[in-house]
Amino acid sequence: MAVKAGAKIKSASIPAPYNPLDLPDGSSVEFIAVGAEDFDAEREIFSRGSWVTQKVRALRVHADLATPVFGAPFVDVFAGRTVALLKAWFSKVGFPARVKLTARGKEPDKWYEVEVSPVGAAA
Amino acid sequence: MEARKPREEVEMRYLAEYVGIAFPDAVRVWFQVPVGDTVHHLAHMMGVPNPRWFWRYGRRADAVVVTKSDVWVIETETRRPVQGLAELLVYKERLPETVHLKPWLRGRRVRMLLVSPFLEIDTYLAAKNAGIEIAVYRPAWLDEALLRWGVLSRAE
Repeated sequence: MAVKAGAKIKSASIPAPYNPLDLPDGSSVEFIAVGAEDFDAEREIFSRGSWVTQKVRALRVHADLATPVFGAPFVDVFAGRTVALLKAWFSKVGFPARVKLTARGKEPDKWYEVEVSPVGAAA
Repeated sequence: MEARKPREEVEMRYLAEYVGIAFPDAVRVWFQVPVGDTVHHLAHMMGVPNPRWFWRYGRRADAVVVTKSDVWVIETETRRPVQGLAELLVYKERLPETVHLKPWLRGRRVRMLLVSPFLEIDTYLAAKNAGIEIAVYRPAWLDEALLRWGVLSRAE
């Protein structure tokens, strides 16, 4: 799993490999989350013409093997607001949960729309 | 160079916790969801068939929660509830034209909800007049942030 251009992971409190979530504007990933663990990481981001080291609290979300994310059984979320949101949601609602993450906008105004529903829920 | 410290994301935790606790029967939940047809309107104006490039210009509700009988549009405001009230008034107007939410609106009642850790009487009265419901949610962990922001005084 390659770390995508624009952000490099320098170190993390969990071992590599990493599968960072970095979707282009309007793209989505959908999977069934079966567990999550938070971790600390230092990464370099390209901001205003130079590389800046940034400490982040990240979240590794484990996916059901039937719904891999970019081919892997987990995805590493580094976007701070999305991490806080998913951690709080999983702590109150639990697993499994169907999760869809959609990138909206471009940096520095990028955010992730988060859609969650119980597995097997119908309209 | 010293690494930047991680930001504390109080509002997102507050929002997700409240929705998780208050809507155990939710069929579907969206967080940070665009409301209104601005994106599709812009795409049409620019002659672009796919509106995805315009999502960033849309109004963004904190959460939309679908239950069997209702669609809830939720704003959480930890510091200034009156701001959430203003946003909900706009979302209320724009919700029926929100393309990706339309299928969920059929046969369900639309309800607007402002969630805040405290109650402001004038905001409450204005919300009541506008048909907007108010919930007070103040978890113990939030007080530290409210003190830091000066929303609460040490005497409280």
